[in-house]
Order: sequence, then C-alpha cells, then structure tokens
Amino acid sequence: MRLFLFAGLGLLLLLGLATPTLAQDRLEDDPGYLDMRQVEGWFEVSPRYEVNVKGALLKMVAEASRYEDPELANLLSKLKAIQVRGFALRWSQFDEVVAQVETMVQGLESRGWDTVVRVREEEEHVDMYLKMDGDAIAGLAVFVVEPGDDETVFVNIVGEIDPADLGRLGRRFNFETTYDRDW
Amino acid sequence: MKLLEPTYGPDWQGARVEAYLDGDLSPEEAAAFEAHWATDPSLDDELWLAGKVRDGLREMPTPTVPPEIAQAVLAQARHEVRADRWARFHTRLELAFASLWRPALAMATLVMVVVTAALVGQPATLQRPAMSAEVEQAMEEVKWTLALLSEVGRETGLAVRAEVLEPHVMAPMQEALGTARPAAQAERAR
Repeated sequence: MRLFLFAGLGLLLLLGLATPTLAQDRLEDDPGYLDMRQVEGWFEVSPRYEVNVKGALLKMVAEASRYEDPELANLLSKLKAIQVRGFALRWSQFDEVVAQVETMVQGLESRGWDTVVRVREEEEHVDMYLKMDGDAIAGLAVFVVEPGDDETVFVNIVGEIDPADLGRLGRRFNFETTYDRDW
Repeated sequence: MKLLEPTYGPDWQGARVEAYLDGDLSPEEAAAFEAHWATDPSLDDELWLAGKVRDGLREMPTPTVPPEIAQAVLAQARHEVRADRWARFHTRLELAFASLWRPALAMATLVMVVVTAALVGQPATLQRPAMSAEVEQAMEEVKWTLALLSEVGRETGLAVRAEVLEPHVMAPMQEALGTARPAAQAERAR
C-alpha cells in the first residue's frame, strides 16, 4: 500500500514537472511570439510575400550556414522563429490598418513589450517593439504600414536576439537585389 | 694428480653381467669385466644363471593379442592421437588468432583516429552539407528578412534624425551655442 502511495506521489511530481516544460516548448506560448493570423485577418487578400522559418527548418538553415557564415549561424541558432507578412495596401485601407496596428501594439505593451521605435508620418507608420525575458531579448516585432504594392510589412522574430547582430548581418545582405524577388 | 682406480665390487659386476652376455659392453668394459671374472670364480655361477634366464625368455612363445582387443587398443590410440592433434591445432589457432586480432584491432582503432582527425581538421568550407531546396529557399528568406530589418532600421534612423533630432535637438543646441548653420545649408544637408 505504501509502495502505491509513493509511486502515485512520484507520478504526480513527474507530471507537475513535465507539464510546464512541455508548455514552454510550444512556440505559440513563447513570450516573443506573435500570431500572424491576426495580422492576416486585417486584409482581404493573401500576403504578397510570406516567410515562415521556424523549428527544424530554422535549425537546418543555421547549420547549413555554419560553414560559410559562422556569425549568421550563431545568430540563427538562438532564434526560434522568423515570420514575415507583406501586403499591398491601398490608400483607402491605410487608416483602417493603422487603427488595427494601434490596437495590436497596445496589447503588446500591456503584455510587457517595450517600444523601441515609433514613427508617425503622413504616409508611413513604423513601430518596433522588443519583448524582454529577464535580461535577454525574447522577441522582436516590426510593423511598417505604408500604402503601396509591397510597402506594408509585419515582422516577428522569436528567440534570443542581439539587435546589433541583426543590424550588422542585415547590412551584409543586399536588400535591394532581393526586394523584387519572385514570391 | 692420481686418478682413482675403479673398484670392481658386487654392484659393478651385477650391473654388467647381463650386458656382457648381450654383448652390450664397450670393448674396454668387456676386457675389464673379463679380467675381474678371472679373479672372481663366483661370477661363473652368476653368468650361468643369467644365461639360463636369457635363453628361457627367448624360448617362451610370443603371446598373441586377440584381434578385437588389438582393434580396440588401436582405436583408442587413434582417438587419443586425434584428440591431441585437435588440442594442438586449437592451441595454435588461439595463439594465431590472438597474435592477429590484437594488431588488427589496433590498426582499426588507428584508422578511426586518423579518419576522425582528418575530418575534424579539414577546412570548414570543405564540409558544407548539401542543402535541400527547402533549406536553400529558407536561407534566402532569412537573409532577405535580415536585410529588410536592417533597411527598416536605417530608414527609421534617418527619419528620426531628420524629423526629430536635427530640428528639435541639434538645431536648438546649435542656436544656443551660436553655431547654427544657415537654414538653406541645413535643408541641403537633410
């Protein structure tokens, strides 16, 4: 009888320890994660371009780049997901999408995201937010809303991010030559 | 130095009687035995008795072993010879194997160490794994995203400098310090 009691207690303890671990492993539960389906719901059309690199694929990209670009591999190995959505935006939609973004960033702020950049111009709104997890950055969100064929962009990077590394590595890749890529 | 003279006692003559009769003594020993015999008449009886025993033994019929016993003895002997041969073969095999597998194992270990060291020590560029199309595309998308973020950051930084820092921070400071640039020049710089 005592044996069953100890076995039951041990099982409960294991379950108690395992449940939070399993929960933390889900990307959707990561503090730096944004659900891009919410953004997609603001538009009547599908994204013009879309990036979803996460999980095993992201690890493979990190490992594949390790031999040619160890710095990029190190950056990617700390990330959990890279999500991008790009939309065409008509002038008639501008105010509506801006209002949606405002609602969204208020939600981010209430969940502890910090504002890094907020630009409000007549033809362009830019928001950059960081989510801290202790002393480390756990997520980055960038919203650019600008009327045009492909100027409105929403980016979410999940994982341990060094903004300096992001900027330095990003400058290494030629955005202009890849901007008009065939999505 | 004087050599000791041989002593021809009962032990000496007893050990040589049968050998003398069989003709197995060397000429020197036979001569010594005969010289001693000449001085010791008791040897006559001993030689006669030994001769009678030898002749009696020679006259005894040779016993014949029954065939089944001979076959059994031969079979047992063959079996023991085979067993002994197999035991020797097994021992040699063990020795040969022991002398072979140890160097072979050492060689295999050495080869593994050398191959591992060669692989680890190779220049990194030679080990670039083959990328699948999916990984290749993901790699391009990752680079594009990083470039996009850098571009947004650069444009945002320029916008912040043009819209906030220069008109609202730098210009008032320069005015206060008396180092303000003419408005036209500031506009061109922008």
